[in-house]
Amino acid sequence: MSGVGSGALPDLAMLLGLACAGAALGRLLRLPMWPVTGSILGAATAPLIGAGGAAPPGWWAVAGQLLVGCGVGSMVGRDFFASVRRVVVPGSVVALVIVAVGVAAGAALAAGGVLGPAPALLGSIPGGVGEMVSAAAGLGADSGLVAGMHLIRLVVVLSALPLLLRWARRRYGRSG
Amino acid sequence: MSGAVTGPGASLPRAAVGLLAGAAGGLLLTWLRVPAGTLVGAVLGSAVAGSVVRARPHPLQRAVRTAGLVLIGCVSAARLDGHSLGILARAALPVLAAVVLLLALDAALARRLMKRHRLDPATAVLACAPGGLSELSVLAVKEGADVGTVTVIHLVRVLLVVLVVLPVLVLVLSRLP
Repeated sequence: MSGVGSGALPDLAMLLGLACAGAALGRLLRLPMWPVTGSILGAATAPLIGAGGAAPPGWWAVAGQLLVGCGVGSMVGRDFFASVRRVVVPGSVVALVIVAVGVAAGAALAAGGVLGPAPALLGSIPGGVGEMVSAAAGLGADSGLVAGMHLIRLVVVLSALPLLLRWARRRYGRSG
Repeated sequence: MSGAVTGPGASLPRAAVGLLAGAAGGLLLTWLRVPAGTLVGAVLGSAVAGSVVRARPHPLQRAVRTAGLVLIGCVSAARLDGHSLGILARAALPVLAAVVLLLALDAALARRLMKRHRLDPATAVLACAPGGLSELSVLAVKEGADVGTVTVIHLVRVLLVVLVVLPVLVLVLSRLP
């Protein structure tokens, strides 16, 4: 994998074009969370047409998060901050359990010899994908593999969530 | 979330104020190097400004959100190369099994949040999902879930990983032969 920001302008334009085309196709096919799943699948085809190797500059990730954060924040209701206060304690317990299970899954992948310890652990813990990939690069592990594991998690989770939501609403009603 | 009473043209300046304040908040927390600060700062900045100016829903907000998700998808996919894809293909089944385990955990934890803390199903399921903070926040808006609850639980998860788990892991892994 080349360094961040090392892509030539035509390659980067091609990468972005493929991501947009993938998103448009994802919308047409009604993929769950089509803007992100479609763009991932679209951009992942870049190596197939000889446009691989373009590494987006670091500000692309910052800009993406800024745009998402602004879009989400501007659509939340006035009770946003009350919700934050209400769920800090149960939320911390939930977060702790999810992270602990992620660590256990990574340790099992390493112990079973499926992957090396670094990619197994850094690729299995759900949280801070950018930080995990950076840590893998810093340790000399395969950061692309770590990114790929998180991509699989993201695509599978986003695809499965509509089913989980339907199950929960059918079983517990719309208001819980 | 109620629809706009006035037309999109009338609500554009207020929506723009919310978006600009979000950008300022995101850039500030990025500059301060707060973990996940870009996203969290943008959400907080636009939420605060949006409620101060009483911003109404506007198509621009959805467009901004979609553009951000496409950019994030693009950056994520660009991190993969052929060699990594080969290893990933060989390890795909166990990796998938680990994700399925996390999804089962999502269902169990969501059930607990619904029963004990009376959260609605959409909020509970999204709050416990092992997905990305950006994507789940967007999904929370789309599904009519409580965005504050979903965002704060995922923020705690990301902070726990970045501030506690990751430093320990780096220390342990760097000492392995």
